[in-house]
Amino acid sequence: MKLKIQTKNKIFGFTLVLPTLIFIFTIIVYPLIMLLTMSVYHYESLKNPVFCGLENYIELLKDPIILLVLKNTLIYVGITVLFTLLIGLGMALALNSNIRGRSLFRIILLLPAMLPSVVTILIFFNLFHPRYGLIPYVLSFFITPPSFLVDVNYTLYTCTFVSIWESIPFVMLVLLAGLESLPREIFEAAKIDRASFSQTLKYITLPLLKPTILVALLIVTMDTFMVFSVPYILTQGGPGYASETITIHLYKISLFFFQFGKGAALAVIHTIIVLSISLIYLKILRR
Amino acid sequence: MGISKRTLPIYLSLMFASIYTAFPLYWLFSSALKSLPEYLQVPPLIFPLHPTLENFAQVLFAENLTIYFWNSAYIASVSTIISVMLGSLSGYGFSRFKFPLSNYLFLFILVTRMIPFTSLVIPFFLLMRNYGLLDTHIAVILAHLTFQLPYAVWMMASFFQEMPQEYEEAAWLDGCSRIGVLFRIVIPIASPAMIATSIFCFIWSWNEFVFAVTLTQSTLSKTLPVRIYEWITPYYSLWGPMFASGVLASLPVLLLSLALQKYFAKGLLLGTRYR
Repeated sequence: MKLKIQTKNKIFGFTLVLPTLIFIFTIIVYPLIMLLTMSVYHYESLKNPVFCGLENYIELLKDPIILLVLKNTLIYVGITVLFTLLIGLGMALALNSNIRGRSLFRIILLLPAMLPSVVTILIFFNLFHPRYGLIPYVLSFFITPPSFLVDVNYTLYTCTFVSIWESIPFVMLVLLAGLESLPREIFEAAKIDRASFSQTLKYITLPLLKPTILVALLIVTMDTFMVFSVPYILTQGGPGYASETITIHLYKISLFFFQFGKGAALAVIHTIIVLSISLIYLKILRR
Repeated sequence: MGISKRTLPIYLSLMFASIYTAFPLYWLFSSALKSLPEYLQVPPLIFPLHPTLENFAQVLFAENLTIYFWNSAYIASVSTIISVMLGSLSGYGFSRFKFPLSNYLFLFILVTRMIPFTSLVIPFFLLMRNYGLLDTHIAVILAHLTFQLPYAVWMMASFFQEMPQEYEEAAWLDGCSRIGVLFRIVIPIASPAMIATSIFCFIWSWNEFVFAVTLTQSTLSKTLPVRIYEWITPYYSLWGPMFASGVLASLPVLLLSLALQKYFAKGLLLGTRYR
């Protein structure tokens, strides 16, 4: 039997892709389907799960803790995204000028991105330690430092501080790549016209960089929505629910309290939120 | 070009930023050299007064950290090899051949990359428990593939899209088979990109925490990040071993990323950080 070259090509292409597809279906799609099914079952210890329709979702909507956790997550995301973008933009602008030692600075500013997250978080755990941490000690010269790791009013912000530190290199990299791809002529023209630094920034750089900033914004938003290790290691979401985000909450109700149904329902909602942000991101990326 | 009035503020801000990003790194390395009483000292010591390697000796010889090193290295290597092999094949398939639904399947893989891992952790835990795979290397390897594989596909596909097709066409005209073109032409040309992708996949698996802490329980499969995390508990904090093993876990990653600088921008752009 002789097949046409085009048909053969199609078959060959599909064969190359097939193993990956099988893997993705078994390790991603199947667990997701399982998550969806779990979310409509009621789990009680030692008994078989009972079908309960949308009860888990309704229960979640009525739960006042969910509102609190959602509020925490939004504050967390808002603060982290704002500061990461501001500081990251500043660093990218500084790195984009042609000065000596630029590549050395670039390495130093990028390194935090590669450190194991656990190590980063524990370094900050030590630095923030209420009794012998360096940060409270330095602050004690100016104010009475709060207990960053235990005070209800501060733990959420302590966590965002660490997340900001972790996310900056990435944002800086994205913005730097954006800055480097801008046409040089415009900046030369601005120089000839004696535009000041702030004028150039406001009327040329920022408007041209807008799409890149938007991409960075969406990625950091998505990433921070998924944040887990930072609050989990630093404060375990506590004290009480003070620094509990959606991810910590769904992890706790599933694996600590074995309410798998409720946890799954929250996970489904969480996935929908993150996926809708990512769809916007993909749309911008493809333009 | 030296320091002038114009560049001074830039230098100052870069210095300040460098201190901000590098200080915690310095703190990690210097704290690892401290001895027990020096951790509890107020004011905290910026330099260890009596630098010592006893923390390293303790974690390596008394606490058997090497076993967790092996677990981490094994899991990261196997999952990286699988993801880069499959990722290269399908990246090539997606960028060179059109077959029914190929665009949709590619888009679908991109979307799977965006699924929050915390949503996958719970069904993964139950699945592994049902199959008796909890606390095995396989469980963690499969879990890490959930983010490595889509990343590798995306990375390799974007590389193949930029790669010129002339060599492949020439080989094809000379009578080389499809598989021959793949192994004799494409893979040798693609090897730098494959190495870069491998290093990123390796680092992410090496650093990963959520899946590892959920799926592992004992020395059979526990990875380095989980072991490091366990030095610090609500009841006691073993700073010395924590900092020493932190240094040992970070060194390979820092060295690898220094070797990787050329690809840094692209690799990070396509893969959001996995934590």
